[in-house]
Amino acid sequence: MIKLLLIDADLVHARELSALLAHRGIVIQHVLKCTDGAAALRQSLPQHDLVVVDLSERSHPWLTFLRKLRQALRNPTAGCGPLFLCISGLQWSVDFQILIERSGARYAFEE
Amino acid sequence: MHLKNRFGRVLETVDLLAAELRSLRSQGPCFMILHRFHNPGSDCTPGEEAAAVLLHHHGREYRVPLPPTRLLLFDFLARRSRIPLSGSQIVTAMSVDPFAMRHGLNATSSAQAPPKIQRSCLKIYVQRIRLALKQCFDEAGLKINPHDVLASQTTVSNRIGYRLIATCEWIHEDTIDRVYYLRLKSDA
Repeated sequence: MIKLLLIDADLVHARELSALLAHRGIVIQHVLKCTDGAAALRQSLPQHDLVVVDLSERSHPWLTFLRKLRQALRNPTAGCGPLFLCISGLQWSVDFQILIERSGARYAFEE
Repeated sequence: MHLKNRFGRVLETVDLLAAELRSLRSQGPCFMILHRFHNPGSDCTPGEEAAAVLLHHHGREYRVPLPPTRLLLFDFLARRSRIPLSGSQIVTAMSVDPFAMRHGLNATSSAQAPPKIQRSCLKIYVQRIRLALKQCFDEAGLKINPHDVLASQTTVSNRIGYRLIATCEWIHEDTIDRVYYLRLKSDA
């Protein structure tokens, strides 16, 4: 069973996406802020398999947030840690998408 | 817009990541071991050199920063990844392994001896390979414990066996040239 952490400041959006993911048998933990996400990653046992971050807010320093989320994962006993997915209803520039992918996360645009 | 359509690409990518995670957990990460000084037309033969180990992730390659002796050890462990080998088994097997004995000799006319692995240094080599793997995983943004890739597996006695848990593919430099040549030709 996949355990997923959803970081999404928009409650309605998070609820809609969670409903679809739950249909796939995915267990979802939802938090509103990146700081809460980092705390959830630090505390969670067994750890999450996937982390989905909603980037639908242009003013946030997302790359810094992603780095902080990764730092929260410093758990030497973990076998293979979570994979990251950044989603957005806004179309980000190609340069930004490349930076996201270079950080090791994947990017998906909501159509 | 219908929710399934709106989130279609997101759900596809979640499925992809879930499959990727399953593959990483069951088969380990995917490495490409690059051999050079290959005799064109032959298969992989002694005399070639293990030149680089590259991690494949998200369609990109990340070099595992290993010097020659540790590259040879990584290559050796990758070829014998089915069962764990103890330090003395590794040293003994490498001392009679044709690939290790003739490592890189296709490129040199002098009888320069290839690097030898000493039993006393093996533990340090294993630690340094893990360190290089960690650097490479960090660069790729992959949260994998290097001890799960180059694993130390215990036996009923106090002997420890080393085993590489990864998917490895060997590729030869002239094969790469040929692949690029064919690509260029098809693009033209």
